[in-house]
Amino acid sequence: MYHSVKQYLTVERVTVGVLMIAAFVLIALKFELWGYSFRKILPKSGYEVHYVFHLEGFEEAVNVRAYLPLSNKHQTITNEVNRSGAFNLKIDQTGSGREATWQNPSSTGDQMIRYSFRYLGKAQQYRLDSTLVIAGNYPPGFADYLAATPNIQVNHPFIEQIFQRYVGETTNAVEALQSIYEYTHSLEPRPFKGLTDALTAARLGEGSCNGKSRLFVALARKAGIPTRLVGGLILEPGRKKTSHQWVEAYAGGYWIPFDPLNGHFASLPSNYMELYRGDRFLFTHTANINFDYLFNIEKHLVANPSLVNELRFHPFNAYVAWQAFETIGIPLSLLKIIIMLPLGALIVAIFRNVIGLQTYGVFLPALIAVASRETGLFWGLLAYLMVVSIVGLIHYPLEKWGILYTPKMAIMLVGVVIAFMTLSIFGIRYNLQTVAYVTLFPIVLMTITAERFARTITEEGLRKAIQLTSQTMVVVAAAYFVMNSRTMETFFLAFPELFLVIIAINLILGRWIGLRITEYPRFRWLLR
Amino acid sequence: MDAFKRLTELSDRVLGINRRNLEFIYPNNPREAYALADDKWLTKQRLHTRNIPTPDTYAVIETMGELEARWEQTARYPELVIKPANGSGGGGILLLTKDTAGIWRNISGKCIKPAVIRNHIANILFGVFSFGNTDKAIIESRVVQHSVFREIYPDGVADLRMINHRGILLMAMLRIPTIKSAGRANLHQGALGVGIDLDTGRMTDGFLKHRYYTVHPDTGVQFTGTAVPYWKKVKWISQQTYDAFPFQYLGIDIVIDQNLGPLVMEINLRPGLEIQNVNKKGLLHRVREKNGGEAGPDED
Repeated sequence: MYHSVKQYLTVERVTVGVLMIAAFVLIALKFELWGYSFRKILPKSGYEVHYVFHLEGFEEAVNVRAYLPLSNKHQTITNEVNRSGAFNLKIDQTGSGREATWQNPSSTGDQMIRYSFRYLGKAQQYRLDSTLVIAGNYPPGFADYLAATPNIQVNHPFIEQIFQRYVGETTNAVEALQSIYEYTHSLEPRPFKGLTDALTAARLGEGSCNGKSRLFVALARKAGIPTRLVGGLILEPGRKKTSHQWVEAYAGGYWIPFDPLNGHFASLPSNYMELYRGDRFLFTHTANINFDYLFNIEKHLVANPSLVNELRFHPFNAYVAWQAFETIGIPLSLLKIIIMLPLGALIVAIFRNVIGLQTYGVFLPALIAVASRETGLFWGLLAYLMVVSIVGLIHYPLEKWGILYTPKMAIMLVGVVIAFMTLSIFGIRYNLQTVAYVTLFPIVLMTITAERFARTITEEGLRKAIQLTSQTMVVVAAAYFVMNSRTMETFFLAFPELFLVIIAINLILGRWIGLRITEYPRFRWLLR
Repeated sequence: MDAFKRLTELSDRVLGINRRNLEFIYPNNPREAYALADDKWLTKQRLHTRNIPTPDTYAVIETMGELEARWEQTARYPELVIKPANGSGGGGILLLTKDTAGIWRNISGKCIKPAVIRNHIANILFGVFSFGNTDKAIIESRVVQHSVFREIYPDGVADLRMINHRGILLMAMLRIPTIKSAGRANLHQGALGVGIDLDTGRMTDGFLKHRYYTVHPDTGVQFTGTAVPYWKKVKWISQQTYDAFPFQYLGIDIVIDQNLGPLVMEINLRPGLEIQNVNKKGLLHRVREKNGGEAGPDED
């Protein structure tokens, strides 16, 4: 018998080895043959940006106009959501950008307009050909990029003086841009928020982003290089009110970015979100309101969109399924849930068999964690607690009356369904859209395990029941963080062969006879 | 380093859930025979045929149709217990005593009408105490708590848990009810676990909620050093029970009746591990002692 046990162990070890090696070989093949690289696979760090406008009007027509970002080769904008209550949104494409106008024929009291989207940027770096000559003739319509304006005083004598001193006559575009950039960058930076024109910046020898940028534009135009202002936001997590301006100069057939305030020469960092071009205001509104605004920016990771596009035509990765799902209209979030579930189950197995936490339901924690993707962990745990307490309350009289198991469960299920519907409606009413997603929760499973909670109270006491519930919640939280990690998600999408590794780890766990961590303190009495 | 050594020592001695399942339960207890332990009527039938002492079975009711007749036939006994064959955690157990006027009363002396009793039996049959699966109701004789145990704590029935592995008695403990356990002898429900010296049958210390006791926490009566009555017979019966079933790792629950002596109540295929804390000894350590240094299963 002992001999055969040993034999069995070998077979199982071989299986584990084969699974691990198969996964490793497949992954290696992808790198070697199909040009996978970690840079492509790793998720990009993007941002979720919220415009939040507060208005207070007095029974009059109100409108607010703001620029929205446009997807281009520098930035990708997705998941745009408008929440503007009574305000109608109209979006127009104009020469300067994408203009959104929110209108309300009669606005009274406090109102809020919220607009959010996800931003994924790509840093840009241009290498300028040092022999580039300032061309004399440009495409039609470029006259504006060379003209003087009230705030960009190209022809003012003082600007002329500065130009002669710092730039001088040259036909080399790169030399001219280099000198202008160095001069404007060297000016004392000032954190002024208001408008500074080119002349003032030059006279003071200092400037904010817009002052320096206007001076840059004025000097470049004077040199004969078409140049324009660019307005946008520098994205960093947190709340901010300050927008930013930089410039683009036309050289060698491209619009090349420069930021004289923060020192970016012919380059643009990935977190510079472009909103409009030209000497404009980021937003304007009718004068009959109190107005306040802020930008709320959260960092978050997203799958590299170019990878998704590229890999869907390669064999053996889940992006193939991705494409199939897309074609027949099944939500992609469902694919992600399915893909991440085995990982969640592994987390639960580790917590139960190695750490020794007890949970209600074997895979319930993983299911709650995955359902919490849409609502966030807080609402996920709250929903679970809600189910537990509702079932606990209903259980008491039903148990007392001796109601049979199945009808009892059915009654509890009705209670839970009513509670979830109420929570959803509450969420929608109070603008907590994410809460409405509680209806995605595995209601039946939650009810069944909540009944076990109620039974634990009668059989082993409230303390034990609460202890089990909190341990379940700890495992939910752990599974949530692992399953919602964008890094994990992209890895599993790109390398579904990792499932073999999951099976292998579970096989090892399933034959592991060591003490669970919580058993050490439990049996500490045996040490004396 | 010292702390690490202590932890290693602990894992060498203590039987944890993982090893219990993988090395003690799975290879020793055939899955297809589980019903013999899970269904208390099947357990009792086998005990009866082997003449192993267990409470007398007055009746077993399997269908609603036979409820009336079977109940009438058992109602002549002055005392009885009604319990579900597949219940868990002591749920659904009704203890009844007939007073001099012929009226049924429960343990607290409350009058229980025949209709209520019939309803209780019907509930058992419908599976109220066994997760919706239909069940059988067992009506059996009531155990009279032995005076040795009654003196330690007056209510409920104390119960011995014997763990037998491959024919060897590994460990034993006595479970004495407390106020918190409300008469039940289940450690989960707050009963006091008392270690037993296997050779002498004397009680060692009691363990409850992270503390050791020599006296019962509710009554203050000392038990440490007291001998379990009929200890030799208890061991013999436990061995007989082990031999009667196709399992090689099991917990045998035995109560001691004032008049009838040791009676087997049920067997358990997944006996709990708390018995190690109660006896201040690891089961693995104990197996190793018995096997002369080799841990784990080594049958041939």
